[in-house]
Amino acid sequence: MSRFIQLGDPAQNEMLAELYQDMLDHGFGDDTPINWLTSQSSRPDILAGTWEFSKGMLLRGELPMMVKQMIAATIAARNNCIYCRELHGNTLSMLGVSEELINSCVTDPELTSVQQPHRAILQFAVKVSQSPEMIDAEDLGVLKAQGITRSEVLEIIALSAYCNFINTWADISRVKVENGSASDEA
Amino acid sequence: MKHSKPFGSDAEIEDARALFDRVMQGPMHDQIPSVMSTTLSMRPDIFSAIMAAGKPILFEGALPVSVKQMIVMIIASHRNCRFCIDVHKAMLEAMGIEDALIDSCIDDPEMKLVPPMYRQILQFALLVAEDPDNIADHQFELLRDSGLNEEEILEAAMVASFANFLVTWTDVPANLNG
Repeated sequence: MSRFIQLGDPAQNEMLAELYQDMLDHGFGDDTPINWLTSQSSRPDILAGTWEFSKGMLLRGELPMMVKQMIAATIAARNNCIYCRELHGNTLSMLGVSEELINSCVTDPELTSVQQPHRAILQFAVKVSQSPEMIDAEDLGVLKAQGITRSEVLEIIALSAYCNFINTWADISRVKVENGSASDEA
Repeated sequence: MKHSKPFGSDAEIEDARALFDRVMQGPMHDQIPSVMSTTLSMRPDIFSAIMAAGKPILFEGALPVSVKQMIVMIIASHRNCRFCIDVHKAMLEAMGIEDALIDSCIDDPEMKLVPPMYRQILQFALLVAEDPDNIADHQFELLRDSGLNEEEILEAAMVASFANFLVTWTDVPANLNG
């Protein structure tokens, strides 16, 4: 159980029912939305905001969804957020990403199996997440040399910071990993 | 939770979002980080997504807006995020919060001038932001004992979580305009 109330049946609240349906329509759950979202279900007003934020960061924009999920899995591992690491790792599997590549993202500080430009993107994203104040022109130059546009850089920065948000909420709410994997009780 | 001076109550504060806009267009205008201004101009879609969460988390809800601003300010202070410190301090000043109280949040580890209930919230928020995986259930009990209900505790945790987004995002110093 989460530290916060998780409503499985939203029937008593029209706003929550609409939100749940939108989440399921976007693949964020099977019968009910994922635990990260339902842990906010006692506050549909807040959930509506964080859901819009999540759609903007994870589903929309210019970066391919696979790259977004790689960033989310890699930062979750660096932040030691087991829930988010599992969730985004599983999403990468569903997108057809190899286990070797996923493992490199979540266990290998050197990201050895990650090819360019993805490695440069992930290294930059981790730096934003861990030491944003250290980002400088040289970091931007590395991305530019890999063909990453300024618009995409802005998206990587926002997504990396967003990952710090979702990791914090997952940890403080103690939501359980979906489908009860071994790390469920970690 | 009963509101009490010196934090004031939301009823005394004009629309908080309008106040925020005024602060950003006034005293904070020259300090807006490049990442924020460039995102607004080049990627309004991202900016809009951020504001969709920021509005209910920071400007609405059960906890007084002043307490929410104080949570972000104190987390920013611990992360040394200059812009976030300044903007949320400016918000608190615009709400009429005394300088001594604001300074107590930032400069005094024991926050002696902060009323006990609010001090409890701020200490909890700091733990959420800095070590969310290791917060004991006891910390939640302390909040309940202080008179907070579950809705308010959720909000305090959510504001602190969102502050971790804000201080990361706005702390990127690189010039992204050129």
